[in-house]
Amino acid sequence: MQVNKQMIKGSTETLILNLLQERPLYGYELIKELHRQSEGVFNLKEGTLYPILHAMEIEGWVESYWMEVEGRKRKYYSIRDKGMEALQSKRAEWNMFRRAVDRVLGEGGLT
Amino acid sequence: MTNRHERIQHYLDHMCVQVKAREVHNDLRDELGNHMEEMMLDKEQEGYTEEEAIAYAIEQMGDPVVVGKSMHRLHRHRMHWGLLFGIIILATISLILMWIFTTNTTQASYQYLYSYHVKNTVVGLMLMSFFIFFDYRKWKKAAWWIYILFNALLWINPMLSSAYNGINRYLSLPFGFVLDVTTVSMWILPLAIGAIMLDKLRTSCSIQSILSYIAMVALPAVLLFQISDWVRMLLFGIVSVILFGWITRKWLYMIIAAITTGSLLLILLLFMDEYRRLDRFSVVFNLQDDPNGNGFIYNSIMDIVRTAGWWGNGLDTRFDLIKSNYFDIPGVMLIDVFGWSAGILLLIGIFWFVSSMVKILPRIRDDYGRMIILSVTTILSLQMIYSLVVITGKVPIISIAFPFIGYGTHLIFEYAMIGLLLGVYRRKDAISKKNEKNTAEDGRRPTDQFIGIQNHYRIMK
Repeated sequence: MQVNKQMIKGSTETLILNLLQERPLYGYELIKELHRQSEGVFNLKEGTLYPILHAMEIEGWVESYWMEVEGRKRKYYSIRDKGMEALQSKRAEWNMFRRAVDRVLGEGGLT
Repeated sequence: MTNRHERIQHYLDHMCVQVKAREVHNDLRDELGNHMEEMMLDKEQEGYTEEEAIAYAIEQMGDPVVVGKSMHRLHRHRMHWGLLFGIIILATISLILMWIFTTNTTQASYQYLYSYHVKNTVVGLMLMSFFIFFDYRKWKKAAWWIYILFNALLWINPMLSSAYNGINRYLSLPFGFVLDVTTVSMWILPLAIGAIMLDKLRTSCSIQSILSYIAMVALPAVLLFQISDWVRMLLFGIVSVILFGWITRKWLYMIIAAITTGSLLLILLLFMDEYRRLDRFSVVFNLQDDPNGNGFIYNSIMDIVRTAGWWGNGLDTRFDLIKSNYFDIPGVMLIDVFGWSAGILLLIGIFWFVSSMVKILPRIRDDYGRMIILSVTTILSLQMIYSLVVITGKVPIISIAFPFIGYGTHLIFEYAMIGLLLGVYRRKDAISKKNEKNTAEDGRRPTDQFIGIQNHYRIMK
């Protein structure tokens, strides 16, 4: 099923931070992980991913470092304390939004 | 990875054209290039041909111009307009002040001051622009040579130059240039020592590295003592202690170091100082005992400042209350001409400067860049605040320079140091992580992260 792009865009940062909270990832791995965990719903374009990652690094939410794994040089991103805080507040925001949507849709009796 | 596929190279070229900060090109190329290659390999395993796999990878990456433009917006060189604006205002005030002084003063020998002041300001601004555009990280490689050079200068200067007020500060250079050796050493040496010791102290704060830091600081301190430039020695000592605390985060050691060097200095001042500085300074505490002798100048300062009023004497300032020492105390000159409002404004400016430097500190990701900001801000603000406090007449007049306002070649270094600050700020978002040994900011070593990664690979498999 295709999901509206606008809906994905607003939550991309939250999803990325959430994945990085578990362990450091490099860009390609991040995209595959997102695809897998969302069961194919989120097909993030790499052209969108990297500007977001770089912006988050400038914000101080994540930090990056190069490492050679399996003979390939990869740039890993790991979450920092400031990113954890951002993730908490984004999560709270999302939960509020989701409950509100559920309530409205539930009352309408459409689902 | 040098033998990338031609079409990937082509894509990366197109993207990098959009990104003006060249220092991030390598990082971007490697990160996105590797990504595309991994994507290709996966697709080829799925049964795509090489051509199809490449086409897929490029299609997934998106338009190189769009990606490049968004990368450019993120990694642009920045300018701290507030600081630049503040410095230009200070330079203007300083030039006006010196112009009024030279036009109004009755002393013929001071007529030349204005033209020298203009010269120092122009040279300073030129150096400032140089330091803005020259990548400050390149100095790091030359740190040892810089350290040796300035120590050598401090060492040979007393033999080459004649003393001025009992201090061998100035070294005459060819073409009529004069180098204020102790001032430039005070600015540069903490940065050189920091560049050499920063990584060492951050990764392993052992007794050995602490001792080598102390030794590196002690050498120029002893040389400054030999020159008997107490003011520069004190400022250099303060910055070295603060830097030590900031690098190692061992506050107890820092306090011990501060107390030890402080008491050592006091003992030296009491017993080794042939100019009896402490005696001269104690005048300020009992001015009424000697109102016409040593206390005269302090009483005059208080008179001038009291009568200056909110807006000062402006173009009509006579500069006749203190005959010889006027431009030794530029703070008084400033208040006399522009009034109390100028003093208050400058004080607000200093607080704004320090607080905005503190605010940008966590946004600078380069450890060495942060160290430069800390060191330069400390020396600048200490000098500024002391020079302003002098106008109360309650603290001794010492040879501390009034940055940007006072007369002298010290101006050149102050502008250069502001250039260095602006240069660090300029590159804050254009830091390349490649070939960096330690990327962690909180003292964590890369090995810690490496272990973390090994663990997660173990979990995955």
